[in-house]
Amino acid sequence: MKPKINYYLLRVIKENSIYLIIFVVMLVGAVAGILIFINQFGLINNKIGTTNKEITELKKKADLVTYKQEIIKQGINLDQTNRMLTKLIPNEEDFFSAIYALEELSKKTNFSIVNYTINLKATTKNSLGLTIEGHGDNDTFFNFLRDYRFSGGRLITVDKIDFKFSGFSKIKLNINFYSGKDAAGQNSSQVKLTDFDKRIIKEIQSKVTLDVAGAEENTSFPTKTNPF
Amino acid sequence: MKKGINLIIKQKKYLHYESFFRTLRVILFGLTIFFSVTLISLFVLLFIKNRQLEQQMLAKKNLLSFLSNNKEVEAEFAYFHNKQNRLITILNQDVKFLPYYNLITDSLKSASPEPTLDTIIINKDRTVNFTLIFNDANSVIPFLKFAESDQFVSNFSQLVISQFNIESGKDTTSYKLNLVGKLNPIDETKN
Repeated sequence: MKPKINYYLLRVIKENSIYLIIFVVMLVGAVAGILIFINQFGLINNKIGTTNKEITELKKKADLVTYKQEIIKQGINLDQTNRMLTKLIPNEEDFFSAIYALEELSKKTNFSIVNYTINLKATTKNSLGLTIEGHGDNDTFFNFLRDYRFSGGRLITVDKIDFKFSGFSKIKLNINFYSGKDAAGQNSSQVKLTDFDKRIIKEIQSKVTLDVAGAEENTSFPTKTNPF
Repeated sequence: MKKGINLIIKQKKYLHYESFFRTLRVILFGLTIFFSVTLISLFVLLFIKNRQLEQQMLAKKNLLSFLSNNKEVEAEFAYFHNKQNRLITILNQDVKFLPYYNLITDSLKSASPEPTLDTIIINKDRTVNFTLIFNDANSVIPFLKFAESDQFVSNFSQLVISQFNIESGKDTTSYKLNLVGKLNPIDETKN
């Protein structure tokens, strides 16, 4: 038996087929669009997150530039401070600067340093140990004990003092000078100066004099572009 | 034989079909509008996010350019902190001798009669070795009593008499008392 064809139903379906096709196309388009959106949205959001972090870090670094100007108003010149610190702890040991520091200290405190010997036991790659011998009176020795750390222009620490009170002669001191490059700390560049840092800087500034003329690059000599 | 459709009998059924497809068209139209609005909204949101990212990239580029022009500042701060850390580490190892020297001389002033400080050795670990001179034997006993008092002993974590010498000269005799000990750390932040 032949199946009965409903011609009316077929006609109605035919009439509405355009709507059905449009809907299916729209549905496929919408699903594709949503999938593309989810993918792109995730990518952009990730990029925004990463960029945000990078911008925060960069802003911290950029703030240092402004901060450097701010601290100048407080009397702290970072370039000068760094030069002072390099003078106190040079990157490489310079025996002559150590001797010059002793001379300077002697001049400033009036405590006469008459003899010095290298203390090999206390000398390491980054520190030079010296045993110095000097004389003076109660006041000059006081001055020396008060100012020895920075006033000579090199950082000095004392390991031992040994002296006879009668006449304040033959006072022996084991002292150390320091040198060497320092390992870079992580993110240390982004830390602003604390009150303690500022106090140390002021103390150094008050005691260490910097030979500005000597530190400046000399560009007054004539130059030639053609070596021949 | 001629075929025909009986519209009277089938009308109800056809009306049902018509109504179904009319409702379906309305639903399809509604869904199309909904999807269109949703998609447009999502893409507007994507556009806004894209603009945000572009602005951030521009800000990052500007910051990088600014930092590239001032790159020495970062290096200066890094250099400062490294040098300063080293300086603090070294200074923390240094015993500031002046307060310890003052501590011993000042505490001896409280003794009656006051002995004369002849020699003193102070090490960085705060161990101290000092010799006192007395002009007569009668001064030694009161000093030993003073040396046992809390006022004097509180400055030391250890203190022992290591030597006692009598040195006779032509006209005078001196009594030398040598003490060895370890000074208590002075908290300078209290002052």
